[in-house]
Amino acid sequence: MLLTTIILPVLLAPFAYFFERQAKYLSLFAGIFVTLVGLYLWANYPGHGFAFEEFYPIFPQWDFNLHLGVDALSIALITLTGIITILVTLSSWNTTRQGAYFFLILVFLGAMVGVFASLNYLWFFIFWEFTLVPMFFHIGIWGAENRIYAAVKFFLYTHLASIFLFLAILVIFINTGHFDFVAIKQANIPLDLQKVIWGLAFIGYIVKMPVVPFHTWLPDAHVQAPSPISVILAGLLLKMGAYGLLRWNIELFPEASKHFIYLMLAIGLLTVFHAAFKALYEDHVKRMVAYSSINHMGLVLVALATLTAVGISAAIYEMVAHALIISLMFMIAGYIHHITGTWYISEIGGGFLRKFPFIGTLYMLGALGALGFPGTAGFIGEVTAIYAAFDKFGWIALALPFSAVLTAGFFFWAIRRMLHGEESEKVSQLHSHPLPAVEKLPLVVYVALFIFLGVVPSVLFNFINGYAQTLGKVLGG
Amino acid sequence: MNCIIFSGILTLAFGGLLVPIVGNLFKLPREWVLNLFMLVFLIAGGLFLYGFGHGHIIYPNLFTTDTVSLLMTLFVWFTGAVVLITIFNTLKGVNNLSEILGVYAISLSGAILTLYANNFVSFLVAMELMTIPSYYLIMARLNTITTEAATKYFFSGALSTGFFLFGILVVYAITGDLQFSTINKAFHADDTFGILFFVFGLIAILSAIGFKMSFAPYHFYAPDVYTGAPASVASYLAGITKSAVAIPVIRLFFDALSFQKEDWTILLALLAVVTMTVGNLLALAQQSVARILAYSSIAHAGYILVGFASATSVLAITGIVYQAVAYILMKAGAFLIVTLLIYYYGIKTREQLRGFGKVNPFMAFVFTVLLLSLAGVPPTAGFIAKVYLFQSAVDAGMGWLAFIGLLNSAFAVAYYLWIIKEMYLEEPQGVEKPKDTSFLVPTMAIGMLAVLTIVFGIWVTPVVKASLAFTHLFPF
Repeated sequence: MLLTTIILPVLLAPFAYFFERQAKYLSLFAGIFVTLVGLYLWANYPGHGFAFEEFYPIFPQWDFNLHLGVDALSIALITLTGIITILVTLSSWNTTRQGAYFFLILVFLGAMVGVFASLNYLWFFIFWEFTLVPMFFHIGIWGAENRIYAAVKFFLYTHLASIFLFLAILVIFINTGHFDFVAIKQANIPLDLQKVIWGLAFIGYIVKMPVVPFHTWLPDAHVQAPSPISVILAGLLLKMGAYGLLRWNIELFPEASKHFIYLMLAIGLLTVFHAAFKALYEDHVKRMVAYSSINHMGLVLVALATLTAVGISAAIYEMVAHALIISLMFMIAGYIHHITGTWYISEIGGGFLRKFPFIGTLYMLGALGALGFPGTAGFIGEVTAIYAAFDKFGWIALALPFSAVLTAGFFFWAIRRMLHGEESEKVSQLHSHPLPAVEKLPLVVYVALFIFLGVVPSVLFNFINGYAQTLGKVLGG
Repeated sequence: MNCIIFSGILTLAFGGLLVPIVGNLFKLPREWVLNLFMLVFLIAGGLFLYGFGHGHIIYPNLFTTDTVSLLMTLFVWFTGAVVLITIFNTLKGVNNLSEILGVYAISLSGAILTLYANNFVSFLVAMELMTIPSYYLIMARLNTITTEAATKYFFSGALSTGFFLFGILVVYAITGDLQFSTINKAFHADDTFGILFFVFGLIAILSAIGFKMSFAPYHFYAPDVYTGAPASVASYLAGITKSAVAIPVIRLFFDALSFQKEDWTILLALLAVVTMTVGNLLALAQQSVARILAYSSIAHAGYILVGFASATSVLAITGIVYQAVAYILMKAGAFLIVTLLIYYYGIKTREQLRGFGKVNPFMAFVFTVLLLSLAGVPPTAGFIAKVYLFQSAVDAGMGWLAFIGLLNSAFAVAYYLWIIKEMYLEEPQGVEKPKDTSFLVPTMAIGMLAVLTIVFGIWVTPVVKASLAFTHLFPF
């Protein structure tokens, strides 16, 4: 079933290219299919270890086998992938050159499921690297004015980082003879070598996440990408980095991980504050959201750095929450640009909310989610992350609430400047701009989902609890 | 050597001789000449396939038959047929087309024969059979540029033959033997003078191979020749002949010269670093698409050298073989696309490629797949080749070499990506659709090469199995 989930979107892709009118329906169908598979796995997951394993030997002697399997972490992310794909397809309902666009979306969807479901490190890397290709074309063809620069930078930057990950994979194979997750885990790799592998792979993952100082590709890519593609970037591509770090570094090498706690903490805190200050200074609507996204990923890294069950739960929760909230923010930022024709808050002036209540309200809701307002998923993620960090690191973690204050600061300030106040000349000249229902729907769904997760966090927490507890026990003992 | 395979090679060679004669005698139209050649290729291909399980051994001292050479034969033959179709389609205006195709078939038979060489003499003879006709091929369209390219190629080829003969002389003087598999035993560790003398021979042989495989510092002729020659011929020279030479060189280094591994591995490692870096840096600075591919072929010679440098690892041979297979498909394919671009659209530089994705989506897509494979982006054969090459370097304790190689391949992505960027992300610059639409058949043929790069990027079994069986023939 997992193989079908990977291959079906890829097989549909050529049809999407040649039947341009039906392309979006194919994409929608694939998204629904992946979501349903995710929910099916969610419902039938036995609660511990890898399940639904599939094994396709290609060259067993050198462990070049497509080994697929999922646990709570991957199921949660596969479901998220399906949901985001549906919403992105709806948001792109009226985009240009639909054949090529949805061709790339479908290919990307297949590769994405492959990343989350692959238990063979080499295949993981194959899917991981391949995701760059559709993203490159998406940013480069459908992006804004400076799209080509952003697309090339995105590809080269992340590809260069991947060579460190690749080297780590090669070192693992040379020393164990395996690419397989289970086999590597059982192999006895000396601790020093583990640390080397951990460090090499870490570079690959944190560039994707991204955290300071390797985050510079992200604001460019996000600002230039069309809004639905920003959603994919923030909602799915960045998750790959955190997922890789959790699965292939922390879970695979628990002993070595303990030596990198303070490195992760330092980079995480640096990211949180750097991104928050950058966002505070930012006048560009979308770039501000991009920095807020980096800020959240820093929080995920801090949560992971605790290496406790609570921290890991918090990290996964924050990943899902971030995907929903930041996706909404990117879409709204795109619409604001579409309506006003400018990216800059200072040019918009004020009074946006009264004239465009739907977009304005959603911006406020998204901002509340992003700054961690109680009742949204952002609050749950942030509070558990801070709790886990405080539990582990003590007073250092008290820095985190300050970052929350900064986040609240820049969002409220943006709301104050852009949404409220006297109606500016610019806004008064704008014509009302009714969104088609099909584009409104995904926005409402994002809000509904993150509020639902904020009110009933147990849905996700209960599901990942087993995974986090097992891993936490390994890391603690 | 397997006699059925040998008869397949002879079919190609004699077909190359006879078809032009028949064509001129009966004044056959060009299409018929091509059809006759396709028939020759089909018969040869049938013999190659049949030879896998049948036939008895002839010339055991000169040629060997092993899994890798059999496998490579199929790849060379298939890619050779695609090149033949493209040569036919893009050299229509030349009045001695049937001779050119004939000479090409003879040269290709030499390339296949090279795969089986197991002896210094047979290696040289096969290599000359491959090289000498190619001087004529380069001058298929006679003008000053092709003449210059042919002259350059002729002089470097002659020089390399001279070096090779000198190397053979030294080897024979010391060991009294020319067969790869027995030279190893003719050496004694305490024969210090002999080994010292032998170093001269080694360097001479290395230089000769350096010319053929175009690694630094013997790469100077390559870009001029590959861009001066008609691009279809360049795809044969850069794609097929270089990979064909690599297979006997595996036997040469891993078998004949294995007693001195410690000495030449580090030398080859340094050469690999220089070659990769020079190729990639110079490729970044180029405007002409053919020249970019020419320099990237130097960089790829560097990657294959990584495999030779990590000779202490079993993985090395797999890496080299995989790179040879992938390289034939992707480099020949990419050059063939360039041929079509020049012939049908008059596109030579990166800038002229702007918006090509809208002008001819199919050709642009095939080109993109081949370029991504050259760049080593999964899931393509180029990526798998890099996996095994750099794995072998790590295995041989040369992690630094693997790191430099990976860094190089990451930077190399820049110029491949730049071409893709021009094709898809820029707006068309007034490139017109050609009236002559005969490009469809060669594009489909090249498309098959692109499909094969993806197939062998996922289904690694045949190549890896063949090279593992090959590995057992060598002392490790």
